[in-house]
Amino acid sequence: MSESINIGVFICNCGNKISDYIDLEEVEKFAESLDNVTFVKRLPYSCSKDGKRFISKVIKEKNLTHFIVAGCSPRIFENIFRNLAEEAGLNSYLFEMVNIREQCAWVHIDSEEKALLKAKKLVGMGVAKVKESKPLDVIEEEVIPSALIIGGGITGITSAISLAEKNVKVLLVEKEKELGGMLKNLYKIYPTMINARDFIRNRIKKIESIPGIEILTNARVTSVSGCVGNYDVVITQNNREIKKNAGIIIVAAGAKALQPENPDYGKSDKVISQMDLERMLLENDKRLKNPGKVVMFQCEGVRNNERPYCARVCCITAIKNAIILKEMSPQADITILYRDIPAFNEKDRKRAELSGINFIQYNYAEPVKILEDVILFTGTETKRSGDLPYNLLVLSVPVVPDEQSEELHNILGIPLDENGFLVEKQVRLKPGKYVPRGIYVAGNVHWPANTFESIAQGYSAASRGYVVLKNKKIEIEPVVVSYDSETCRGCGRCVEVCEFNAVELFDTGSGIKQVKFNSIMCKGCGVCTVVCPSGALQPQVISKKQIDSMLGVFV
Amino acid sequence: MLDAGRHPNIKIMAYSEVEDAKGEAGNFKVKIRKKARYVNENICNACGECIEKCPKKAPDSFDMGLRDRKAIYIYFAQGIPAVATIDKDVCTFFLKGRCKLCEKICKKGAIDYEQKDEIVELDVGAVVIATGLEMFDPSHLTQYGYKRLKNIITGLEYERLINATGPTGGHLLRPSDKKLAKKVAYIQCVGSRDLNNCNYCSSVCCMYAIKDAMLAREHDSESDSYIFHTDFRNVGKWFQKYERRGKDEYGINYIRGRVAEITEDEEQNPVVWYEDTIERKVKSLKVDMVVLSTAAKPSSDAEKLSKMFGYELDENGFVRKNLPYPSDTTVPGIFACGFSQGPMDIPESVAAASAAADRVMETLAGLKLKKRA
Repeated sequence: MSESINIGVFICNCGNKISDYIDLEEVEKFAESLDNVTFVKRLPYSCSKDGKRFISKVIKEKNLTHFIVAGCSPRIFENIFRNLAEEAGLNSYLFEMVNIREQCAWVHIDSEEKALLKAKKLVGMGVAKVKESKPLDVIEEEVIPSALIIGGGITGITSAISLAEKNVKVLLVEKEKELGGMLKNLYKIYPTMINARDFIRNRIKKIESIPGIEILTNARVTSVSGCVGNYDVVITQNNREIKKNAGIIIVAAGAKALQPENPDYGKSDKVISQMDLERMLLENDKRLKNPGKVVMFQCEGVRNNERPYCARVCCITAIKNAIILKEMSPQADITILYRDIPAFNEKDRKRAELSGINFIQYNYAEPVKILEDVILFTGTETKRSGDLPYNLLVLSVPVVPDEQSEELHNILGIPLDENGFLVEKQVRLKPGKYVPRGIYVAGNVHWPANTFESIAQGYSAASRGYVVLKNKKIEIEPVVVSYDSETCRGCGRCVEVCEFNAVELFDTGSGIKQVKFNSIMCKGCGVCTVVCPSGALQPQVISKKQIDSMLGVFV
Repeated sequence: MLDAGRHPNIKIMAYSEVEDAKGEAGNFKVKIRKKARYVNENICNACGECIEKCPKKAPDSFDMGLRDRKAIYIYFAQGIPAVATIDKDVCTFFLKGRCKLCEKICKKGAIDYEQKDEIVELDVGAVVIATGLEMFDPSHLTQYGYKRLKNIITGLEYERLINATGPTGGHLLRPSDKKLAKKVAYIQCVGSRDLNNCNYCSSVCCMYAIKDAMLAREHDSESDSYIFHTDFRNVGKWFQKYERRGKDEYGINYIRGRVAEITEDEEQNPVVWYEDTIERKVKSLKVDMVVLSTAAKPSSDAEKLSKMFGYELDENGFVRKNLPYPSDTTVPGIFACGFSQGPMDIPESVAAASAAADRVMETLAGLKLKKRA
């Protein structure tokens, strides 16, 4: 005996933004003619307070068992109507949103007839789908209240301190033998010109003073499994494997400065990299006392076909070090040979210019030649070839991804861009969000960043992670596949296609193979349901039956 | 915006201004003026019927004055909260004491001509400054001819023109004769990197000019774009790739050169006079329309707020940043993020905002611990 199905259809005018292009009265009439549809109404704005109140009232009074809203894109409002369903006492998966605005009204502005036909079909398909929908419950999982932070530079240290101060247990893994990352190799921090080593030492002292932070140096994360709330992590330290758990993971693995690939580098101690200069400044190298003619060559090995990006920090580093050098030895003759200078505060460049530092733009399309004591180039403003004699040639090298980035990409499943930096869900629209839930990326491993930005990103990642950790449980949408062990034949085809390690084949003991299905790992992509020959794996949110009946309406 | 609007822990007070603040970290008393809308926020459901019938018009500030709105209006369609507001300076009833048409039309009775500004006092533990930016007004840079020559607009005005819901329905119609602008010049660094105006790089203009030029080409395959730039500063994630795409796929012409003057011919076509700094020659280019990529500067209230709360600004009027806490201002318990701290793009602003939120949590938790001890 099945209970009666009462489907409600709410059609949205969206002000006039839909009704201007589609004859919604016709759509209303069509909806009324559909089987099981017991209530149809056009609303000026379903999403308004009045609209929602009305829908809620109808659900209760007319005993609706399912409903659809035909209006805008589900992108924003699907969740609002799902919550509304729950409030009205209906399981939220017994609701369907039909997009007749962006995907219908607005793309068929030129033909009201076509728009109407499509709107009817979309509404019909929505009704056919929702009719077969089953109530689903949100999956709840325990959250392990600890965080794994990969990378002990300023970014990772910042995240660690932030989380530990909120009583989260932190495990900080650093691949080198000591913390500090890039900053420990720098002399001063731009633009505040504070001593980089003192600064990072103070942060390290701070992190070491906080109980609840475990620091593993000389260590690498070698495997990660599980999912948000409960990651199983394997760390390798001195050939020894350490197993840990974490609720969230922050990737702050940093990057490195490019080792100049220029064959002239290293031939003599007159050609050095900007990082070598930092070290010389740190060590108070005698050669900087009276360096004579210094040329800083920008964009070494970057903004070319191989590395088509601007590493953003190299120009300000050059200006910073030029100013420092000029202050140390005012007689030094310093030239910065550049392409474009992304130094955002004009004052510093002006200051550099006023102190006698020369800026010359070179044409990158023309060859640059480094000879023993002179650099040959073509200037943009003179169109003539120029030559600059030097006693010290400093190659300004970019920030490039560390080898570890690729390792992390393989272990964590975060995509890499063509330059080798880790990529978020959507670079412009979803910053800070990554494909695996509960994993956050910050600092140079994501893109070259200065100290201020790295710290902000470290805090940002900690803050996003804390949102997960502060709750004891995490809710996961049941947009997953359902598994039936009775019908499963243990062929293992699903294991071959699953990208998310949600299925595992195991021996039941008597030689019979079966699948262990992990609904937490499952992302609901449905690939396994296509290859499953026995139908043991079925998509929960859109079943084959639903697809069939929707297609029935469509054709 | 919608996420913030419907979050149970967030209360939004729009159309409100902070008037006074006292106290210290963990215990600030803030006085807020909630300006009268003359519409009851709890009743209005933004149906828009009053707006349709209102007889009085005024320039639409959201559309940069490129078209009119009514005296009763909703600032923009997706605004939060979605309620109407009466512009008292324009409304016939407030000026002449008669009309009241909106009151008659509103079935819900949301119109309230008697509404007064309300002073709300709040106790808060911490404050986050996120006052953003304002666009630089290029009128006084007479060489660019803004306001003097008709077919010269700013980047933000362009945004409204190219927007499908904007005053021209997304068609790039130039102001003088409403003809389709096919050849458009974009002038970078208008007011930015200028010792006399904004002595810094606004950092977002290079990218938005490229985006604008790409959009023009997407709307009209015959459109021609010229971007006159100083340095091209496309340093963010994938920006260089975008710049290349602009050139290779959209045929944008990048010209390195600072524009000296813009004149116009007898058909009101702007003529851009510039020095091509690569060829070292003075040249001119006749176009249909010019878009000025104007500087972004700190919001006009930034100084007032800094004095009220007592934190320091830097020499450009942005909130001063320090290490090791870039989100902190110089006053404990007051934090800042976004463009109020200096030029930054969307991803950077989002990171800065989360960072400020985290520092607020950290500070408040710390104070609680101290109190307990």
